[in-house]
Amino acid sequence: MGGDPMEPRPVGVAVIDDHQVVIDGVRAWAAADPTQRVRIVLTGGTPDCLLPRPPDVDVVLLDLELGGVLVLDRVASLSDAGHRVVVFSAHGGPSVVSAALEAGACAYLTKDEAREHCIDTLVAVATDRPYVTRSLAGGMLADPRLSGREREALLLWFQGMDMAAVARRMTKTDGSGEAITKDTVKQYIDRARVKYARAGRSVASRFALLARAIEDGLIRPEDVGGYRSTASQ
Amino acid sequence: MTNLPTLPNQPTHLSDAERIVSTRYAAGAARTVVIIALGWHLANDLPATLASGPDPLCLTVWLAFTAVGVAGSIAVLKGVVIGPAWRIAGCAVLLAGSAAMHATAPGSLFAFENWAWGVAGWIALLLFWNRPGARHPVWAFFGFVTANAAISVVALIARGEADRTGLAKMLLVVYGVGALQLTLYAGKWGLESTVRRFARDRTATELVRAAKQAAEQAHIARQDRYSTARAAAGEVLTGLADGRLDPADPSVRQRAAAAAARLRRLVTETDDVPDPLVHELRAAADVAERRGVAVTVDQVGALPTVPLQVRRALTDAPAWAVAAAGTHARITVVSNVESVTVAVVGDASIDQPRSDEPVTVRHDDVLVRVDQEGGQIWVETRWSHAPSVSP
Repeated sequence: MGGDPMEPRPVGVAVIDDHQVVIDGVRAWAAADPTQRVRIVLTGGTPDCLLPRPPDVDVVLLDLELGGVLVLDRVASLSDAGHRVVVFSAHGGPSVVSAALEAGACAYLTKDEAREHCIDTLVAVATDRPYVTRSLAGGMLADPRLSGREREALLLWFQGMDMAAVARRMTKTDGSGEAITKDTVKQYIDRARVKYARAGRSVASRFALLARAIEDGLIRPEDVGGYRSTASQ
Repeated sequence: MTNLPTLPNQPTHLSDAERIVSTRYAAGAARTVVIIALGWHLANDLPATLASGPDPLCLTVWLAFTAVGVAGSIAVLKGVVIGPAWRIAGCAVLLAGSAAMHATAPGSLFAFENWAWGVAGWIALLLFWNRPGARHPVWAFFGFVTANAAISVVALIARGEADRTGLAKMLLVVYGVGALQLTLYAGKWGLESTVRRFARDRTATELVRAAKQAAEQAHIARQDRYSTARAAAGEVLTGLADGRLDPADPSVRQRAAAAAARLRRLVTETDDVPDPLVHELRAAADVAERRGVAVTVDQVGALPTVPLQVRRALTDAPAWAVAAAGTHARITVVSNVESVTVAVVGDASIDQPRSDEPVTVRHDDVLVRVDQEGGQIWVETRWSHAPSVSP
């Protein structure tokens, strides 16, 4: 803060992990970010210090395994308290991923992918935008509501390609044989994420994600209510 | 009567085929002996007993013989083996009845009313019928026939009927009836052993045929694995052996690494694990990890049962790609009821084009895509199969 008033305020992040080395790692990544987009405002071994929600915490980075126990219930209670929760875990199994999303998590990071994606995830989640890591893509692939294109984009992303490589492998639907753009790929993936959010528990972060998706033109307002009627067809 | 004797050479080693065949043949002979014994006892002995008055002793003997005959018939028809004690008791009843009738019969020994000694052999035959594994069944029965004849000869002499006519008549009856009984009994054993031998021969032939078939299948499977292994590693090994390939050349080392990954996959192919596909991919990952490549394996969805040939085609190109990775590789398996997709994204460790084939195993239902751009390798194999549901 304090510099150019036009610069956006850094994202306030609380890191909850029972291993100090992880907290130090996140601090190091935040420090290495060229534009200093993230500031660690609070750290701790348990999420108790986050209830009620401290005003300067924008995003909570929560280790899913605290003291050897999966804390999915804490994901739910933090989300209910209005927090945006990013789950951080050594496990990337699709069932754990979807359980975390069901509990209200905004994003999912495995420790493998954290170095590459941690800061970007925190920033995206702080602005209520979807951020799909590869592990999260794996958890979403089984979703029957995905369109063929969304699934294809998610699958290629899950396999480990970067967005540009995914784009090169997907051709436009108009039959021209031309590759789609990187932005279109991101749109497919983000739309898939928003679809997934439409059915979740009623937590503030989920409504904020949907509202932002409408604002960004990713989905139309009528899409949000449309979920149930689509399912009942 | 149902206590089975534990004879040392009880043929419990009979195969099912032998048992079925010998049972079918034995049933006919068993019915024949029952009809002869009980038929004679009813058609000849009953009228004779009634003609005797009926004399109380005669009637008692008839009833005792009937009891032994009916019990013996049941044992014969049901294939039950009569215990030795019961058999001896039955024989004693028959011989005692025969002797008592000789002693009390009015008039001639050969009179119509003195029927017991004539039928005793037939009823005894029922008691001797089922003796599987007995060492000398015919001789034991011959013993009974002889005892019965001896009692009758003694009675003949005691009655003073042992003149030439009497002895001739006695010889005729004992020899004629005894020969018939012994022939039937010996024939039964001969038939059974022939049938059993035939069945045993047939079983042996079948076993030989099955063993030959299994050996042929094992041979085909071995040939198949051998040709797959040869495709995987043969060329590199031959080249290294005859000096055409230089182990110092990075591209040769690359090919050797790919061959190692494929061989490792073949070795794990027969492991009994719940998810053989992922297991084989992990084996390929293991080889790369030993070279210092960071490999992640991620799986989404439940895996259907993947046939061996399909599994080979699904893992072949990915194993090649993992072997080609320089520093990191990501293996993913995504499956649902309709398809299984295996992909590898990794960085290539050498910049010159690879000379070895990325695909050595092909399958009609497996689509393989291999792509190299910049420093990245991407390989995807996809198996689509229609789930077997009726429309």
